[in-house]
Order: sequence, then structure tokens, then C-alpha cells
Amino acid sequence: MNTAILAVDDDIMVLNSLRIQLERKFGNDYVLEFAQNVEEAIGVIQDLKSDLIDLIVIISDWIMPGKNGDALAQYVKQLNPAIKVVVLSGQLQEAVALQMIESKEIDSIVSKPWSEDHLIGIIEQAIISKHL
Amino acid sequence: MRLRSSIFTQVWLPYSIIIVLLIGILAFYYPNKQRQILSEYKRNEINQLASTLSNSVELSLAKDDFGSLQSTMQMVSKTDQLSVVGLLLIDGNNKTVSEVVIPDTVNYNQVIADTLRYLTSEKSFSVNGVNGRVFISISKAKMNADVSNINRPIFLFLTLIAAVIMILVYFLANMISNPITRVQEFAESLSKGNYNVKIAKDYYQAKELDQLQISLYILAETLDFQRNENEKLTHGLEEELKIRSEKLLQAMDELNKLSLVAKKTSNAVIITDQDKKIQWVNQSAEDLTGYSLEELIGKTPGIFQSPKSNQAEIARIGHLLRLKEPVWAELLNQAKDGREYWVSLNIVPMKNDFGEHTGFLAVETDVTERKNLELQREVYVKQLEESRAEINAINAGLEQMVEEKTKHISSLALFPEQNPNPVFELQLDESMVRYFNPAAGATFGDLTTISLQAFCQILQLDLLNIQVNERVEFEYNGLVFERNIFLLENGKVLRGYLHNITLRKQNEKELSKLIDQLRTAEQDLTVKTVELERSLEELKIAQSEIISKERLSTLGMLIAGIAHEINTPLGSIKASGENMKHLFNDGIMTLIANMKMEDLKLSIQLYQQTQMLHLSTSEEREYLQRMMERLAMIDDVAMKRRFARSLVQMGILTPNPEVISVISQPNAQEILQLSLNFVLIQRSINTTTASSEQGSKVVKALNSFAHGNLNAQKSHFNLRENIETVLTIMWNKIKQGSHVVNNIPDDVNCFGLPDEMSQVWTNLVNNALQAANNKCNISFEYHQIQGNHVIEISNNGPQIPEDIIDKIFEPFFTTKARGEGTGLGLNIVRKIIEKQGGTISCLSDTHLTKFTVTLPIKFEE
Repeated sequence: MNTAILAVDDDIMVLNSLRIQLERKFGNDYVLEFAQNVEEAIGVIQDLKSDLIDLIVIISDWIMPGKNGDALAQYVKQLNPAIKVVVLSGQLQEAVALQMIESKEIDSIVSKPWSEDHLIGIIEQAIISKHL
Repeated sequence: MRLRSSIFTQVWLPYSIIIVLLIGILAFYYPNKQRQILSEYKRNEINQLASTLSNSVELSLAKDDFGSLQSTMQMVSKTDQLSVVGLLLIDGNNKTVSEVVIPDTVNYNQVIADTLRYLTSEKSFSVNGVNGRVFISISKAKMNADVSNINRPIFLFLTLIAAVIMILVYFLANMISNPITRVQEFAESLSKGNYNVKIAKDYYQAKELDQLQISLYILAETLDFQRNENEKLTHGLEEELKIRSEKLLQAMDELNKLSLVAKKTSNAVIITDQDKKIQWVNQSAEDLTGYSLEELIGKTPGIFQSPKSNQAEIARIGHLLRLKEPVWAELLNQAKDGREYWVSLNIVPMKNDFGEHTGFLAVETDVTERKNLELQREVYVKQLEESRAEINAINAGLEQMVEEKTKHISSLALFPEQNPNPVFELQLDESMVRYFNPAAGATFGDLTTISLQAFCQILQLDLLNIQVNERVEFEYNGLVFERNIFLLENGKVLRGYLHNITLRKQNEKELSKLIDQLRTAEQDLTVKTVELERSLEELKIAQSEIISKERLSTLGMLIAGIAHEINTPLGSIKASGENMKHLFNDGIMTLIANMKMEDLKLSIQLYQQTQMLHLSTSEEREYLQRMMERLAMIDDVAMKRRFARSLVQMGILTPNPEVISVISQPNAQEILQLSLNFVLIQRSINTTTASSEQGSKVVKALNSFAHGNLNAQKSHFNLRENIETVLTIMWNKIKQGSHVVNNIPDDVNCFGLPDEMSQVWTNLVNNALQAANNKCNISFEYHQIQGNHVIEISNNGPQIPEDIIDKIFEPFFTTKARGEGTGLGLNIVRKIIEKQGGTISCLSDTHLTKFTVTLPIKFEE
């Protein structure tokens, strides 16, 4: 239990749904953290760091009040490029997303509405690639 | 004092001067006269003395008594006035023998010669042969002294009298001037309003002045009394005056209006006094008559009459005016330049307030045109009648002519040789041309040489189907003929008359060509009109399409954001659905199947303590932290964390002993998990409901926005809701760093085009967000000003540059990159608002950009 997954979305209902899914799949092995905006997320990341908990995946919404997902991705990648960033967005266009994946700004993209299996698969993939 | 000095200078002084002058003249003239009288008198006296002396000398000589002579001479010389007495004795040679002169200081010759100094009388005598001469001389100086001696008292007397008169006059002047001066001063005081001045009585002694004074007293008292009366009256008069002046002002006002009307009217207005002398005319009258006001003043309106004017009408007008009756008439007048014009004139006698007749007011309208038309009509009617008579005559002539022509034609029929048109006869039973006249020969050649069939072909005549009395046209050699055929001799003979109508046909052809052209032109015009109408219709459609497209373009820009707004709740719903399935199958059914009944009971009891909380993630973290502390009795950190998280998720923030006891159970994990799963299912259901609502809200907003029907009927709509819809659609954009405050009250209802208005708000908000790179504060404020809804949409984004702020509402004006905007947004915004009778304006500075939209509360198209 020294590894964590962080989910960030301004919509609490999205977070609640995500929480149930993540809890079911990763609740036993990972610390699950949730935040509703980028500032809060950064705070959580710093707390985890000071608690010596290793953050491996961030699932983040793209457009949020205040700072957007890109700011978070930038922060995280600067902190540790190994942390995987999965964008869960209802808006980000595919072309833009692919470009960002190519430039390693983010690691993968999941569109809203998402399928649980797909999302879990992506997260598992991210965890595996992180361990590689 | 003024009066007194003027009396002295004007009366006393000249009078004194005259007296002094008179005395002067007397003093000059009187002594001379006296001297003359005296010298005459002395001359006579000394002449007499000389005679006496001469006689005395003669006597003395005769007696030879010289002694007495001597004494006589002495006596004479001592006579007062005589200066010199002398006696001369002369011999025959006229030589002085003896000379006695008293006094002896002078001699005879000196005295005789000095006529200036002496007045001398001389007598000759002759006694006893002794000739002699006596003379007596008086000194003129002495004589003058005598005269002076006589005159002095006279002058003294005169001077005395003059002085007395002057003094008298002085006093008299004083006596007169003093009272007058007093009266004058008194009058001056009175005139200054000082009615209480009194005249001191002791100034005057004269009875008359006393009376004058008394009269003045009475006058002063009367004046004082009247003054008081006047004061009383004045108050009344002032009131009266006020009322009158107000009335006067009203009257003047009315008069001004009237005079304005009189001045401005296109009718001529003429005002005369009671003697019909013109006092005033307006500009129109000057224009009409050609005379200026200056020329007309004092003249009578007779000046306007033309020699052709109807004299009976003028007499009638004059008669009515003498009776002071209003007059209406129509007259022919003559202008200054000789131009004749008809006027319809209306004369009204004018009366002042006392009912006295003061003059006449004439209003004249130029009816020349109408009158001319009337006259013209009369002329036309006359001409028409004449024409009718003429036509009748012509008809009669025509009838006669027709008769003659008929006769002529029948004669032509009888004598076809002379007919200028072709005439022929066909012998049908023998199939030959029986006859043709010279005109036919000239046209068709020798008809005997061609066959009947050939000729019939020319004539377009079908012998098997002969239609008589039918005019048929045919062409031959470029000429057009009209044929008329008759059957004679029981159908054996056909007679034909041909009429050359080439020229008529040509004219007809040209006419029909023209008509065709006209018709074509008309058709073209119709076609073009239709085309134009269609273009206009297309343009209208295009315009509405542009507006729709602009709406769609705005929508397109927003669509990504809207997708997010829909996808987000959709994501929650989908996830919740999947979650519920797992939770129900694995989380509940599987768990229950493997649980003991006691544990199940505990789990349900625990579930009953749960509550649905809406915590933010940060709150949750805080409660989780606290819960971890509360669960200190659990050693396993992972389990502690899990339990804490489950409890917080269930909304059990302060675990009671019952809960603690559950946690202490060996199967606590399953018991907690089951309760939690119940909660999570409930939460998923809630999430599904809430997300559906959120999604449908967005879809509804999108629907009302995108569905916008341009030809929609106006309807009532709630302003706040209308704006909220837009904010919902744009929420995804707004939330990226902007803040919108909607201060529109809940109860503002508008009547207009709600769909189009949402386009307006979208545009304004979208522009603000774009200009500020999605980071600004936007506020909607509402006021009600003078029957208008006033909505102010402000943002603190960048200033709209001053050089373009005037153009932002113009079509195709855009600051955005090519393809990003249509440049029609704000233009359409303005059109939409103006369509509803409203206005839009914009103010922008470095702090604030404010769009002000007004919409009439009562909107009527």
C-alpha cells in the first residue's frame, strides 16, 4: 500500500462513479486519492510525496474551473515523467490528444462516457508500463 | 430764487438801463438846445443893448457929453453878461480916431476876429459928422457856464427821479417775485409729492397775495384729499390694470398667433380701415398683387381691379361693405405687372371691443387656375357644341357624298372601264375570262392569254367552293388585293372586284410589328419583374439563412464545450450503471450468500445509521484523517484505512459504540462492505438521476438555442431563465477561469423573441470570453427605465480599441482570424434587438466594457 492512484474531476458525480470502479479493482492494493481541481490535486500529490507514497497514475479531467488538465499534466511530468497521466475528457479532440500522447505530455486518453473495462485496462496498462 | 433773479435780470435791469440811456440822451441833447436858445436870446439882448448904446452914444455926442458916454459904457459893461464893450470913432477914411474898450485888455480887432470865443453885436452911428461904431461882445465860455449853471439842477432832478423809479421797480419786482417764488417752491414741493408744505403768512402783506396764498392752501388741501382718494383708487386700479393687462396679453398672444397665421398663410390677407384704405397686407398679398406693402398703404383695394373686372360684382361688394356685411365673391384682378388673376375673396368687417367698426379684413385666394380651367371648360363645351354642329353638317355632307359615291360606284359598275381597280368577269361554264377592265390588264397582263385555272390560282379562288360576298385577301407581284366576288346570270358568270390594299397592309404590318415589339417588351418586363421578385425572395431567404448560419457558427464554436457538458453526466450515468451491476451481483448477492444471518443483521443495522452526505474531496480527506485517529484501536494500518474510508463513505462521521462494536467483529470487513455497497448503490442511483437531470438541462438549453426559429411568434419569456439557458450551454467555457454574475431579478418577464435573445446573450458572452482568453468577470444587471427593460452586460476584459468601437455592429466586421468568425455576430445581435424595437450600445474603457441592451416593455410591431 505504498503506491497511489489519483483521480481529478470537477464533477463530484464523476468522481463518485470512478471511486466505486477504482475501489473495486485497485482498492485493496493502492491508495486511492480524489481531487476536484488542479490545485487540490497538486496538494494531494505533495502530501503523497511527503508520505513517501509513490504516485503511479493520475486520471484527470481536461477542462476544469481554474487550471486545466494540461497544467496538471505539465506539473506531474516535471515532477516525475514516470507518473502516467490518463486524461478522462468529454471534449478533447482525438487529433489533439494523439499529438499530446506523441509529445509525451500525457500517456493516454479516455473519452467520456467511458467504459469501465476500457478505463481499468488503460490504468492497468499504465501501471504495468510504469513497472517496466 | 431762480424766479427772482430772472425777474431782476429780465425786468429790473433792462428797465434801469433804459432810464439811464434816457437821462444820457437828455444830458447830451438838452444843454445844446439850451445853449442855442440862450445864444439867440443873448444875441437879441446884445443887439438891443448895442442899439441902446449906439443911441446913447449919438445922444452923448450930440450933446458933446463924453463923460456920460463913458459912464454909459461903464454901465453897459458892468451889465452882468457882457464881457467887452467898445466905442470906436472913425474918420472919413474909415480910420479909427479913437478907441475905447472896456476892459482894455483886449482891442476891437481881437474881439471881432475871435468869433469862437465871443458873441459880438456891432452898431454904426453918425452924429455931427462924426462916424463911430459901438460893439458889445459876450464871452461864450461865460455863457456856457451860465447854461451849465441852469442845467445842473435839472439833471440832478432827473437823476433823482430815475433813482426813485429804480428803487420803486426793485421793490415792486421783489414784491411780485417773492410770492411767485414761494408759489413756485410750493408747487415744486407739491410736484415732488410733499403735500404737507405750508406757506409762511408773514411774507406777504398784499391782500391779493393773501388771497393767492389762501387759494394755494385750499389747493394744497384739495390735492392732499385727492391724493388720498387717488391712493384708494390706485389700489383698485392696479388690480383692474393687472386683470386688464393679462387680458391684453392674452389678446396680444391671440393677435400674435393670428398675425402669424395672417403672415404665413398662402392666402393673401389685406386689412383696411373703415374708409377702405389699406393698412396692412401680408407677404402672400404682396406676391399675389405684385405691389409692395409700402406701395399699398393708404390705397384702396380698387387698385387691384382690372378693366375686365365684373363691374356688377364690384358694385355688389361695395353695397355689402357699406352695410358692414361680410362678403364672399370671385373677382378678376390685375397685378402690378398687368398679369390678370382670379381671386376668391372673403371680406369681413372688423369691430373693436366697443363694437365700433374699425375696418375690413379681406382674405383672398388665388383661384386663377381653377377659374381658367372653368373658362377653358366653357370654351371646350362651346367648341364641342360647334364641333357637334360641324359633325352634323359633315354627316349630312357625308350622307350626300355617300349617296353620290354610291351613284358613282354603281356608275363604275356600269362603266368598269373607268374603274381604277381591277374588275373582271369569268364565264364559269366556258372556263374562260369573259371580261377584264384596263386596270386588271395593267395589273395581270392580257388575261385572255392565261387559263382560268391559272388566274384563279392568282386570285386564290376555289371554283368548286365559291364564297360570294366574302372579302378575301391575296398577294400578287408584291401587291396585296382584296377581292370581292359576285355571281351573275344564275351562277354562270363570276364578277370580281379587286381592291389594292398594299399600302394599308403595309401600315397594318408595321403596326402589328410595333405591337409585337411592345408585347415582347412587356413580357420581358414581366419576366424580369418575376425574376427580381424571386431574387428578392431568395435574398430574404439568404438573409435569414445567414442569420441561421451565424447562429450555427456560434453553436459550432460552442459545440465542443457542449459535448463535454453532455458527456460528463453521460459518463457518470454509464459508470453508475456498470457500478450498480457489479455492486448488486458481486457486492451484495455474493456477499449475502456467504454471510451469516447475525452478520447480515448487523450490516443492516449499520446501514440504517448511514446518511447521504455530499462531501467535497478535501472535506472527505479531513474526515478520513479524523476517522483514522478514532480507529486507533485497529493496529493494521491498511485495514484501519479501509474501515475509515468505508465509514466516511457511509456518512458515519462519528462512530457510536454500536459501530465500534461492529468493527470489532471478526467479520467486520464483510459487514461494513455490505452496508457500504448498499450506500454505493443508493449513491449510484442518485448519481444517475442527478446526471440525467444535468444532461437533460444541457440538451434542453441546446434545443431551445439551436432550434431557434427565425419566423417564431413573439412570446412571453422570463429574462433570467433565458440568460441562464445560455450560461448553461456556455458553462464549460465559462468555468475555465471566468466568473459570471447573473443579477437579473427572477420576475422580469419580456415579450419578444426568446430564441433570438439567447443568441444575443451567447454572442455577447462568447465575445467577452474570447477577447479575455476565457478569463474575465461578466455581470448581467437589470434596470427599468422609462418603459424599457435595460440589461447591462459588463466584463472586465480588454478594452475595445476606440478606433473600432464604432464599427463593431457593422456587418462583416471582425477582429478574429479568418474562418474563426463570420463577422456578422454583433450585426445580427443588433438586428435581433432592433426587430423587437430595442437598442444596443457599447462603451469600453480599460476597466470595463459594457453593452447596454434596451427592450421595450410593451413591444408592438
